Amino acid sequence: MTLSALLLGGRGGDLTSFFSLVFLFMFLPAFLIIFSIIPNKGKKYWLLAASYLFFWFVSGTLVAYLFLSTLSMHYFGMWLEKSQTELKEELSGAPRENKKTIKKQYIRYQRWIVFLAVMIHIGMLLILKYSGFFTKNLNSLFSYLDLGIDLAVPEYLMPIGISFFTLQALSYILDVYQGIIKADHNLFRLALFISFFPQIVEGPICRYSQTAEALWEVQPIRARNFYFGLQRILFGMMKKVVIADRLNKLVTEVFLNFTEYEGGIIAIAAVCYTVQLYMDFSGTMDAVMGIADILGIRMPENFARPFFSKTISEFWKRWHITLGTWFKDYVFYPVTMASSMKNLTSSARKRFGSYYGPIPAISIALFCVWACNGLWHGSAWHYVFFGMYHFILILAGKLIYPAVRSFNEKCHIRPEWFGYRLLQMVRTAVLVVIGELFFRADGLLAGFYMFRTMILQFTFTSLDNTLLKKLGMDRFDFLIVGLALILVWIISMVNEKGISVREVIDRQTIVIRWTVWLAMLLFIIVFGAYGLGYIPVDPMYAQF
Amino acid sequence: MQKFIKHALRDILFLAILVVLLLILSKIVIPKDNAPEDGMPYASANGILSEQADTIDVVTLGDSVCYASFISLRLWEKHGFTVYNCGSSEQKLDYSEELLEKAFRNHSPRIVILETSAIFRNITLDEVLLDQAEKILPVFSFHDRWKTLRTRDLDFSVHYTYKDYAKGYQFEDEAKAADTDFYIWETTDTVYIPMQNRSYIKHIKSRCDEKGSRLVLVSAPSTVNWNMMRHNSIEKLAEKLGIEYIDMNLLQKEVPIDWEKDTYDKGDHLNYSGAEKVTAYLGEYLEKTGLLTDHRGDPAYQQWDKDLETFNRVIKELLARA
Repeated sequence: MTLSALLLGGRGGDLTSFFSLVFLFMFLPAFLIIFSIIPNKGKKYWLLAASYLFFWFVSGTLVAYLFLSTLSMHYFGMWLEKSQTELKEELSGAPRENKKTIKKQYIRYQRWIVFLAVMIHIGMLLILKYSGFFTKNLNSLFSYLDLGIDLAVPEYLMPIGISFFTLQALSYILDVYQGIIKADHNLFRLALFISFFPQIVEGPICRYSQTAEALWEVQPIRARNFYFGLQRILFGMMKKVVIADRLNKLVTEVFLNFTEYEGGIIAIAAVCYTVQLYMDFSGTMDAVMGIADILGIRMPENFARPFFSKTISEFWKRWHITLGTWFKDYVFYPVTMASSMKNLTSSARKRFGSYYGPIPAISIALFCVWACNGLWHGSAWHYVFFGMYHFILILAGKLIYPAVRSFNEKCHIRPEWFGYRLLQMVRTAVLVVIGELFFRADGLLAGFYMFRTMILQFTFTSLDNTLLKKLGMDRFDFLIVGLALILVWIISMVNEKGISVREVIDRQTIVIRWTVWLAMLLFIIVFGAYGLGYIPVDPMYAQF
Repeated sequence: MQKFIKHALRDILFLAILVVLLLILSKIVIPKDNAPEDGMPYASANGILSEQADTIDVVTLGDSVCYASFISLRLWEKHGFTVYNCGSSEQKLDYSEELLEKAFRNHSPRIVILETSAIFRNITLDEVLLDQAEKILPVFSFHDRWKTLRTRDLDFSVHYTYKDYAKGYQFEDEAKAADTDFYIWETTDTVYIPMQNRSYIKHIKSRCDEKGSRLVLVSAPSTVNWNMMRHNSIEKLAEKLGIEYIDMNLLQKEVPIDWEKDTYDKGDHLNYSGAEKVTAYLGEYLEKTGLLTDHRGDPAYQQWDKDLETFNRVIKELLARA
């Protein structure tokens, strides 16, 4: 096997998974060795070069989109800053009566700059990701109206992570506009902030103020960071390779041939998919955090034990946190703070009181958030439905909250009672699983069909060894998934109490420490779903 | 610096313990026999491990097109050549190479046939690395055996006893007509053969040269797995590497496949009647090479006569049932 075949033949596709051998045993070690050798001043440049190299390996010439996005952020940011400086200068020399008019003019001008920047980024995303979806729907409309028009459906190659880095770029522009951060005059620092290779595939969606400076000031690797980072990667690997990938066969089979299965099996597949998605995404996030840990960089967490949530609203504060906060900061707040919404709230408050008064404005903002959230995940109606489903659940939760509280008071049910909280967690989990069923289904109609079957035909009569064989999961597979999930659950419980498991292990004697990590490694190697009989599963959120 | 060395030594010790544990685990999970119930994947193809030493003349490698096309025992019956079909489902070239090495362990085949469908199965860089790891630590290959481990597995000795009387050929007699509209057409276009795959072919060729075996590339008829562009690519590659290439798809007179009757899955694979035609041509080709000896009547090959008897009886029963 020649080295050139090894380097070029794979075309970098395997690198999208941080648990691939190519990434773990070729890219990452090569990156870390060079990073360690390079003098401190050059480390940040190597980090940037390695990030672009990674992107090039994975997306080839599509790296141009990332570069364009970075250039656009850089220049729009500086344009905004120039306008802000000019405004300050003009205001300082202007008579008092003119200040308001000058300010208004500049704000309008800055809004145009922001609008242009947003249009460039969103436009790029709309063309690459959504133009096919919109054209298909237009064609359906034309066909329904019998207009005889059939538009060609465009298909574009998308660079990996475009949905993630576009949101990061927009947050930078909007933060500069709002004066939260200053425009960065250093193109390289900005480029590193947006292209940092561990985050580019699946996030987390970082803010400039969270990581840009830390990345640029990256320090030499410390032993403690190195081991802690590797341990976090190992934990993520266990989630992805032992649990998520093992469930893949069952999920793929049932969602592909859903008409062949009764409701009970569909329910099992929906639960398995929810677990698979959680383990896949959070496992990959563990790898991202682990790599950042090695470099001594703290990135925002994307998960906080979401299945301990008592409401859907809380669930979305614990699941894909950086996406949720992005929508909250850049869609929800701007909509609710718009003057028309403020007027609506104040008039509604007079009519419906202080609790229900803000609800109309909140509903409109929530609708915008969840329409965007659904579409962000993909250009298909079932994603839109997924967004609307959560919009309705969250809104309904807000509407019935006073009634529930009053009912609890009358019945002497204490919300802090364990049984009640457990019930709330189970209810939330069930609602999440239903949402994920539509999310994973092959189209909206398929989703409704599966949901209907699940409700009307909730039986398990076909569940036997033959069926399990067909689903690619036998009782041993379920046993291993169960054991691994218990392990994840125990660690989650400890983390929920604010205790770091890694630090607890680190305080033990070397024999205990090594036993734990060797056991973890062997557990993954023996019980991992890889090699003969398994199809490697790409990181699931990378496709969004 | 002292601290760094201390850390490095500790890491090396940790990795050494891990490797020792993996070696022990490898010994435990490695199949102790080549039977399916012992955890051996693709038992038919791996049946070659228990064939009497130095008895195999020809080894065929490839994916399902290979095991559905070449009837080993028909070649024995008509020509007295011992051909073992090491075809397996979705076989990629890394596994072809592994099976070839298994064949070389106990045999010195004069001819090695590689069915070309496998050449177009992309091998990822990850698979290449895993393949290398599996060679050193078989636990990476057989880790899934934890489900079927028995106390016998704790005795590390390995004895291969499972024999496939059909010598790797897999019988199908259904007939589902193929669509031949886009089967053969004039073109000089080619398709890309991934670099790793080309590397594997080169390596297989050099291993055959070392062992004195002749490597032949053969495209068995298939309207699904074959097309003119693939033909052109293989032809170029074969010419470049100095490998003989036989494309049975273009030998329609010599291999008269009836695509209405000779395929069991719409042209993807040949059924028994199609395989008979392919095997008849292959037999003539092998005869013409002058490299092989007719072993019929040789007492050392009595088992082949017995296997042929079993094979014919089973085929007869299966055909009667159909």
